[in-house]
Amino acid sequence: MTRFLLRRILFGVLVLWLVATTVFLLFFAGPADSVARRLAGPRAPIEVINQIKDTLGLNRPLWEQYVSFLGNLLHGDLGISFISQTPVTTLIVQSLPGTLWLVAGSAVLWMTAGITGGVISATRPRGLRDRVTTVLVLAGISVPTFILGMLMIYLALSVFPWFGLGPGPYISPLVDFRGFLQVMIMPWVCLAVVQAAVYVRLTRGSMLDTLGEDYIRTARAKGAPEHRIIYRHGLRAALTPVITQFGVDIGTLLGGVVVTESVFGLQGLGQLMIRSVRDGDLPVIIGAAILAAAFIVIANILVDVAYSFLDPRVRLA
Amino acid sequence: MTSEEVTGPRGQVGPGAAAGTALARPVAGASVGSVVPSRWRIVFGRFAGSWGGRFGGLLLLGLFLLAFVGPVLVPWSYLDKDFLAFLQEPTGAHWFGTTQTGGDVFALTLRGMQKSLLIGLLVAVVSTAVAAVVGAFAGYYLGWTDWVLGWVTDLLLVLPAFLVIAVLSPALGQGAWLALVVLLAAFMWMVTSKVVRGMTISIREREYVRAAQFMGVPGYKIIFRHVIPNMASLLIVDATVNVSAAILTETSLSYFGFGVQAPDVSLGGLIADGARTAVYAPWTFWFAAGLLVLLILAVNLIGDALRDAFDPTSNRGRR
Repeated sequence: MTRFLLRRILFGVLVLWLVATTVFLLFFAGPADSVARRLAGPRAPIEVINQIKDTLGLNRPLWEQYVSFLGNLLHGDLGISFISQTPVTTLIVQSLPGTLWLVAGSAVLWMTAGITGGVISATRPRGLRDRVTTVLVLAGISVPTFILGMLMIYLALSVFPWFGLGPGPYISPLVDFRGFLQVMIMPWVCLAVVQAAVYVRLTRGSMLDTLGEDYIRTARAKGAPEHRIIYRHGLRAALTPVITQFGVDIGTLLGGVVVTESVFGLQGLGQLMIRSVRDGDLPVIIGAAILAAAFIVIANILVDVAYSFLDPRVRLA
Repeated sequence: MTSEEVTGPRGQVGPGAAAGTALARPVAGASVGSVVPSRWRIVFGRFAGSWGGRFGGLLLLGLFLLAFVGPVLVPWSYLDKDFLAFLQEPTGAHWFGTTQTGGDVFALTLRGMQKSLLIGLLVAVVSTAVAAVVGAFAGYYLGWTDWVLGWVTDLLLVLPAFLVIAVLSPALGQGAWLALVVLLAAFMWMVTSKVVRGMTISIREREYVRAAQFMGVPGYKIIFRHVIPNMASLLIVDATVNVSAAILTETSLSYFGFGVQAPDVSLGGLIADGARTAVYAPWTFWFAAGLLVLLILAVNLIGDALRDAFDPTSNRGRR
């Protein structure tokens, strides 16, 4: 187990180094001129642009920039934002809570809805409840998040204004719990709708496979009550692929829930990314990209470890 | 990429990723069908016999006709501005009304649909083809080929796709929507390629592959003639799923202004513009949003029907 973990962590660090290098090359090697031009304004003389490139260190040879970039990265320093002149780590730490709360709250909703829906439709395949669920799932995966989000905002502001729900920046629950709920409820539901649809499908398929196994028939033959068969014997085994997907999704979403955050103006990591891409703020873009990749790598390792607990057939060698 | 949720390409949380694993099942059927023509006829019969297949197919056909024949029916093009009608309700002259700058919403929406349809289909074909080739080569040759391709796959899975595409696509310049297709496809093939690799490892042990090897057929020929055709059902379903994932990602990117660039239009860009005027001029938003939802719905219905049609066990739940 320890050896497995060590190997996975080493592997993860290697992947992250590759990601950092790729991202650096992709973003830094390219448009240094356009960044400086954007900062200086469209009519700035060439001397001003050169001066900006000097102060930002964009005139140094590429390998020199790369070495200092990697060195700083190892010290946990992601550089300083071109635009706001704040350290990138500060910007990220500021935007992190919004994304964390969004993903956490939404995950509770979509896991509850997804697994319940999947079990309901798998216990009576092609029955009425299965058909209704199938239609709902189809609706869930067919409506783009940004359309759903705008619909919800429209409804909240013009049809049900007395709830006080509305789009807005993240508010800490410790400061104003009521305000926190008013801002978070819609993004939670919006993200959960799309995710739940995927999880209903996954749970339904996995449940149908499991309920077809021999040991389920054995349990039935022994006269075990149906709810016990479904929940104790069936669901427990069927959840393994669901947990895998859950880990991967959490890792990916923590790196920034771009669409949902932006539609609701939540000021999380996703919105930080969008803003930095619009501004050409390279250090922030690179920092956000590396952080997102790190979340995915960590999530993957955790999933592998969880697997060995959930499925006794898996041995970590 | 989900975009996150869509996040389509990215680590694809989207429907594509989940489907990737679920897709493994039809394969068993692929090897069973010994009489090839009848198998395809059975699959087509099951597809056309299902409600979803029929409805989805007709819906998609209708949308295709609307997108490509519709523009001929009206005198306005998506570039025209009617300076006598700013933000006008739908009338006989402007079927879907006009935008704030006098653009004809009908012409704009159809142009956006054309782009979304083309991009969706192309991205799906390209990404599935890449997945098939990379996965098959990795699984057939194993060894260092597998090692290198595996690293590339894992690296791309970890890179935040939405961010990379958002940064690179505006840099490609105007009208470079084909480059956008390449970018989107580049981040959409990894999960399928892993499935393909696993299947190839089992297919390469089959007698007909062994026979071809002993006859001296070169590896790349075996891959294209024997290995990939045997995964046709998986690849077809995957390509269909990818169409909706690609459309979702492209429209999300365009919604933020990172996808299709002006003067060309995409449904995502139209929806973002329409959202600003949606409250007092609902036609600027609802036609584009509605057609986009219908388009994705049609593709998803077809994808589901195809998966059921290819899956020999899909009758299990039927009584």
